[in-house]
Amino acid sequence: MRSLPVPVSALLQRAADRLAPAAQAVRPAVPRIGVGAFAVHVGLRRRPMLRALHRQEAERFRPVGVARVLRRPLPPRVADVLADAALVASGLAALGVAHRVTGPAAGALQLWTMTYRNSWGMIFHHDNQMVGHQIVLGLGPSADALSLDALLRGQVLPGRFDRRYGATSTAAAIVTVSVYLVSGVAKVRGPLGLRWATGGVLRDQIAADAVRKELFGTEPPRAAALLRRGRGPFGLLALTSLVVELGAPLALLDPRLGRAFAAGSWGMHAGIRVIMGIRFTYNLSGISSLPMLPVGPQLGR
Amino acid sequence: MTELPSSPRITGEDVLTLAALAGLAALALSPLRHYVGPPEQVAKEKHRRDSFPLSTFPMFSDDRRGRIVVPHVIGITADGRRVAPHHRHFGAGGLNQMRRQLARAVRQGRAGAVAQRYADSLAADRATGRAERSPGERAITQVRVVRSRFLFDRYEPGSLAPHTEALAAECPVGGTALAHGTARLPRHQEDDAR
Repeated sequence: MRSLPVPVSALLQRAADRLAPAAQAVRPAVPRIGVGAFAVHVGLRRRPMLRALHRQEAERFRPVGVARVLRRPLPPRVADVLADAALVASGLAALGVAHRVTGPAAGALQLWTMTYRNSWGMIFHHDNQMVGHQIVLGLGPSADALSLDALLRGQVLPGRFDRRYGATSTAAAIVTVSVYLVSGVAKVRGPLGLRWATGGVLRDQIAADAVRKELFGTEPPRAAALLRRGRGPFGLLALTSLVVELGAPLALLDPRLGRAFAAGSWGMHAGIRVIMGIRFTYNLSGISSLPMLPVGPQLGR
Repeated sequence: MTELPSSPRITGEDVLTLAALAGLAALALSPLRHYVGPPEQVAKEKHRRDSFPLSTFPMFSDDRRGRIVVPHVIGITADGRRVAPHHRHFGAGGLNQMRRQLARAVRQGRAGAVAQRYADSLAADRATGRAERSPGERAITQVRVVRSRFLFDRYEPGSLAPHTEALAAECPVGGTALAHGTARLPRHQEDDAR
């Protein structure tokens, strides 16, 4: 990089050391195992639901994302096979078997399966991070350690440092923080702006959720009982949400901020679980924050 | 403890890696473009442009102004009690997906088909003995497809009693549905005052 002016070169060097540090192969391997194992777990749990979903009337089909290539739903058996293939590929990618093939395949098949799942009139927003992580970890060198591929090469924990390992982990972290940042901007670009943090919108959302749950024959969240007692903890939860979501990009700048973000986002989801009764299992499991908790040493300056 | 060497000097390949990371960030944050513009435009676009996996995450961002209108199905028992039948009677995919599908069906004038679907499912449960597991649903004699307005400050959890309600269709369990139209609700008085 001698052809670049010194300030530019120095800036790029700092950016590379921060965002693509020379790390060991174990760094992206740990999130690969966690994300893949979670994908298999939820895939098995949802399998009966997905099979029923694939058999709905065609008039309920509202394709989004990559599923827009379809004008009508797939034959149910084809959709079943693709969902099962996503499950198998996710398992093989988690184990690190032929990862150059199974990694990208798991990302692509999971993207299709989850997009198709969201193409029936309701877009769910809790699988975005998992799918994004599977894509970037599948495309990156995340199976050079702690994998069957590495075992066959005779080096389960290779000691080599490479910027690609640090960059793959950062790519997964970008997926995580992007979801939070877009969610935060959505709130402050709503009708109330920063007054969203007072908790009124959140309180109404919880009330709406409770009413809908009751009307559709299920249990309302515990917080429904708090609604008639004023603002309750909603202001605190709303403020925490905004700080975590809008501050998420800072987690990319420093490992300590990354750890603080991981703790803060986990606390936010725990609060949502207790107060609103909504489970963001991927986030509560801590797997979504694994890219923020870099494993293994990295070369410094 | 061995001291680690310094990080390597940046190479052309590293610059490409940084560019790829920047590209990924731009792609992941691309839904933010739907939050640019006047508030009325943002309020529409964030829902219209929501997708997967590049979502606009519009949930929790709307100001509901203390109320909600919900198209739904309510069961009526022989003694006039209101019972909420489970969403599984309308299909798979979970509560929110069924809620959205039901709302669209009512909007498109297919409330009669919705009522028939629920009534047939409840009747089938009785025939197979599954209704024994849900005493509330077992007592339902008629289902009604309605649009209901709930005011949060006045709603008593568990009562299933709306502030205002309009009937779109009804069907006796084991019978044939009768559609009543689009189920328009009268405007809320606070809206009239605006």
